[in-house]
Amino acid sequence: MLTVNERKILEVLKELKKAKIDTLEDKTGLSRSTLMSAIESLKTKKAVIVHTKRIEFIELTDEGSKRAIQGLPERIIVNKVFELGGKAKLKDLKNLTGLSEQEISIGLGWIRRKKWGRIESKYIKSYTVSAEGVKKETIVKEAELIVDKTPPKSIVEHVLEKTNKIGYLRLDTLSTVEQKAASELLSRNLLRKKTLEEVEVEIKPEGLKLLIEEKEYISAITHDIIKRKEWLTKEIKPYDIKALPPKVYPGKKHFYLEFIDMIKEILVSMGFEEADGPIVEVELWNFDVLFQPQDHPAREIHDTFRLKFPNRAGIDDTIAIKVKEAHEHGGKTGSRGWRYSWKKDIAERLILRTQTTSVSVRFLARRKKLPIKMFTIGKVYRPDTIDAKHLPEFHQLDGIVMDKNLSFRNLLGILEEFFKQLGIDRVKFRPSYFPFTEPSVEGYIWHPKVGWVETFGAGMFRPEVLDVLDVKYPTAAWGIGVDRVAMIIMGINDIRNLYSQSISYLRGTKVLWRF
Amino acid sequence: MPVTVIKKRRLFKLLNMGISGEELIELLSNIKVEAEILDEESLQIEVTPDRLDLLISEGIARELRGILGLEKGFPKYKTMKTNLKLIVDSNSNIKLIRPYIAVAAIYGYFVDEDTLEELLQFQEKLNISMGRDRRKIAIGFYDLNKLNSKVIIYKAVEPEKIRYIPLGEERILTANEILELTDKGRKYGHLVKCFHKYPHLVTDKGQTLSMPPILNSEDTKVEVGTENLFIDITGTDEYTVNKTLDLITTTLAENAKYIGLIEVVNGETEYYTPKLENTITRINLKYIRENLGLHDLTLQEVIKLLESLRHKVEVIDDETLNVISPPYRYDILHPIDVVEDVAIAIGYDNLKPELPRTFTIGRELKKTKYLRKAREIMVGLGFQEILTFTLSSSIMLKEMLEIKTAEYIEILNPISPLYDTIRTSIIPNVVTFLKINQHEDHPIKVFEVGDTVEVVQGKPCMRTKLAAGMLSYKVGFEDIQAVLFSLADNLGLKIKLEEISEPPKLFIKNRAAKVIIKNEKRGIIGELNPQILLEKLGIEYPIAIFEIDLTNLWEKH
Repeated sequence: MLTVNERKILEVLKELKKAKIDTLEDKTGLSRSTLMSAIESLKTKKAVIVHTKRIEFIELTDEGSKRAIQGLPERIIVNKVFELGGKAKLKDLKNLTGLSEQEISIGLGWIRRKKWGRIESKYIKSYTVSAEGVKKETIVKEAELIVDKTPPKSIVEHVLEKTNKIGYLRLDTLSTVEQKAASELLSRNLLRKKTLEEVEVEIKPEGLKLLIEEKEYISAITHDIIKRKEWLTKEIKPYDIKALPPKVYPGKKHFYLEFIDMIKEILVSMGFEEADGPIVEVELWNFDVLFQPQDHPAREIHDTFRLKFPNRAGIDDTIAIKVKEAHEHGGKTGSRGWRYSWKKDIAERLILRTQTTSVSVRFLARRKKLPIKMFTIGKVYRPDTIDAKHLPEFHQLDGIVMDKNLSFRNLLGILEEFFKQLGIDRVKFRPSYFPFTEPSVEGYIWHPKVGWVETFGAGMFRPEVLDVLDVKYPTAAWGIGVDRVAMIIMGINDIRNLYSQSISYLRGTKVLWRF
Repeated sequence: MPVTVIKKRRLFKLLNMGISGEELIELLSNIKVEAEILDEESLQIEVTPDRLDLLISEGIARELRGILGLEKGFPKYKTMKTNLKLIVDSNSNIKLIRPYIAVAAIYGYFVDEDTLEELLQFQEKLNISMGRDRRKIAIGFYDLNKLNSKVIIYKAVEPEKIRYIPLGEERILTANEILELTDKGRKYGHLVKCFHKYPHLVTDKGQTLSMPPILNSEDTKVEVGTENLFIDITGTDEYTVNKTLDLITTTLAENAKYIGLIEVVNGETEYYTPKLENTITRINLKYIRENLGLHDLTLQEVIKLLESLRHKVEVIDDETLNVISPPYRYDILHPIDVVEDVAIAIGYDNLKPELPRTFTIGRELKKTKYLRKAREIMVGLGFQEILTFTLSSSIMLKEMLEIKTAEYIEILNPISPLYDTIRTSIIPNVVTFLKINQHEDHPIKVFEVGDTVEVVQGKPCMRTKLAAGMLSYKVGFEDIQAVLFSLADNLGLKIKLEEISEPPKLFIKNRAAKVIIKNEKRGIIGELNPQILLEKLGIEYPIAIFEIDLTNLWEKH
């Protein structure tokens, strides 16, 4: 029995008798891989014969390409000598033509064989004086090349040029003389042979028979078959339900972006509003507003991507003045501050943001109405070299909650609840330090296979930060490394897989995961 | 974060007790110290930059004694005025070079092998962290008994006049030789090279102690058997110089007889260092309760908790306390820092998390919702979503899209030329993805939605773009055009294609077009040039591609 594709091929062959693969591909509209497997199957059904013909091509070698452009050495020599009056000493040829010794000797050999010129030798007497002052007579042989006319373009040169122009030539399309010339060029290593297979498929009487017999069956039900009620007169061909279907791949969202969408859904369900902000940021929002002193090591080029162009952007003066006061002596908060001289110039430097907390503080600077629950997920950048655990860009989730009477225990409560929603029941809190939060906490989540994994930093924004932003109420803030959380939940060991460049990896990812 | 290695036997000796490994790690994790067992003898210690006093066994033991209830309140240390004197030679321009210095002596600090190792690491980590790699401050330790005089002079000296045997060398070198020939000289020379005189610490009898902040002398070095220390800190920030000396002396004093105060003669003024200044913070009980959400906390409990972290507490009234923090606690800037100590003393494990009652409505950005719709249409059209880096290569952007300098951002310190900018377009990402996967099952249909950054009139502008590409044995303009039109139609966008007279060479000349939305150029569509595909990109199959800029289109919805 014939498949739909096999039938298509036989229909085409019925008309053409014999066809090359390219023709079949064109006429049937099948892709080459489908076509080849269908032909293979037709062969086993004895419906077709496959003729494989080896076709020989010639193409230029590297030396051949050079010669095709510059000319053969014999041609260069002959032309030069004729130009100089038809006579030249052999020892001068090298200087005259610029060819190498070896090329000249090859050239002379062919000149002799092709009778493009002749070599005449003379004997000349010459005298040398030995060290003792004795004059000595020697006889020196001097050979000259005589060229009477420039020979017309040879068939060899013609073949060389033609190959160069077309790129390659089928040997069987060449005339006998051309073939002889080609074998000279092959022997001179200016051409090389290449063989390719040409496949031609021919229909056999059995194939034709199959096509006719099969007519009695209906393989594919079509509009016409239904309308003409053909199923009444013909039998519907049964399917081999055990056979595997062809592979099809659905369009899919990226598995990691689906995970991020799920996080957004959880946070929205917990009453959080989403925000975003620029990835190219001024240091002001990434560091200064966050009470990070200007000589803090995290601000150096080992930890932050700085821009060469454009390298600065203007900042708001009102904020700048407040930041200056907070850094230098704590502003109006009663804090001692960092006790150094703050520079606006540094706060204006452009960087790739190192944390999405810049988005949180930008949000607080424009919205102060109680209460606030905000989150943001975005790319952050650090100059890390790429390995299984580090990438120079990754995702961070930041969140803030601002309300009257909000406490540190509330911050812990929100974080615990968020992870519970993600399916992680055990969270561990430990004291930590960030310049912009106090009390500060770092958090670990429990995974049965990996154990405790550090995944977030959090805390209550410091008074010096709130003062700059003009916020009057306690504000809880946290930042979570989303990539790491995703890896734990989805069981991925190498962070690079989250940004996989392999379509088969993406096609293989499941749309559901367990946690 | 600063990391060091300490010896368990030394810590236990200072504590006067032993603790099992697991238990110790757990205890330390509650006082901001992340510890890891290296071997039978050693622990690796990582501390946060606000508690550098925990970088040595003395500091850890002091903190643990409080937490374990072995001691409470202010740590005790004895001080004594010495007959040593430091003269700052203010005529020598030292004020313009490295203006601040503070010195101290430590008596009865017995240096054995373990101690020496920890002490040198403590010095080095403080130099890096507190001292910002010696720029802000640099610390020197010397064997006090090796000094040939009681009078030490700090001055700026012409480099050719500084000659001594530097630490670890066998012969006398000049200042310039030290900068060229020694490791420390090469590493830190840049801190002094810009001056015509270098800082010099020397006795009045001409014995060099060091050339701060570069290198000490061999003759005065601390070694196994040293009993008394002389310490100097020089720097460019007076507060940090003094505070670091407070930190070092009060920490080493845990294991010494007493701290020696040294008279400093600095021009007209005379004073003693170390200053050993406590930090006094007035704090209200209500403030602590509200910040931590512990409304039943009593004054007595707070006092006990703070004493366990070595603060001294004075009761002002029923509601108010004066918290006196020891000199090594440079991290107390504001009452909130005392609040954190209360929380640490309680133990974070004992703080019951509590959800706030804050009622708010959650919502996603319009942008998120809009882009999700666009992604869903693309998925419906059979396209696999991909996620690639936004960091990109300017060479690739130039080659593929003929982007010009000043149209993209340039990163000053890229990790590699492959990532020296942020992409201005997602097309190179899609083309690269298709190239890598060209031999996988066809057809390959992929898209990505994401951020790009263009530079417009010298300013970085974030644009959100969607790019889609198809690669197959046979694919053409019409195939991708159908996808673009379907996407636009479903998003309710009216789009128009316009010819491009000179498209980037990546495209075939008469098979590329601009995508116009409301008279604005919003993208490009076309078939890729076979010559570029094969010869430049090494791709053997046709590709059709489009990119459309969706920035702000969500605002209308």
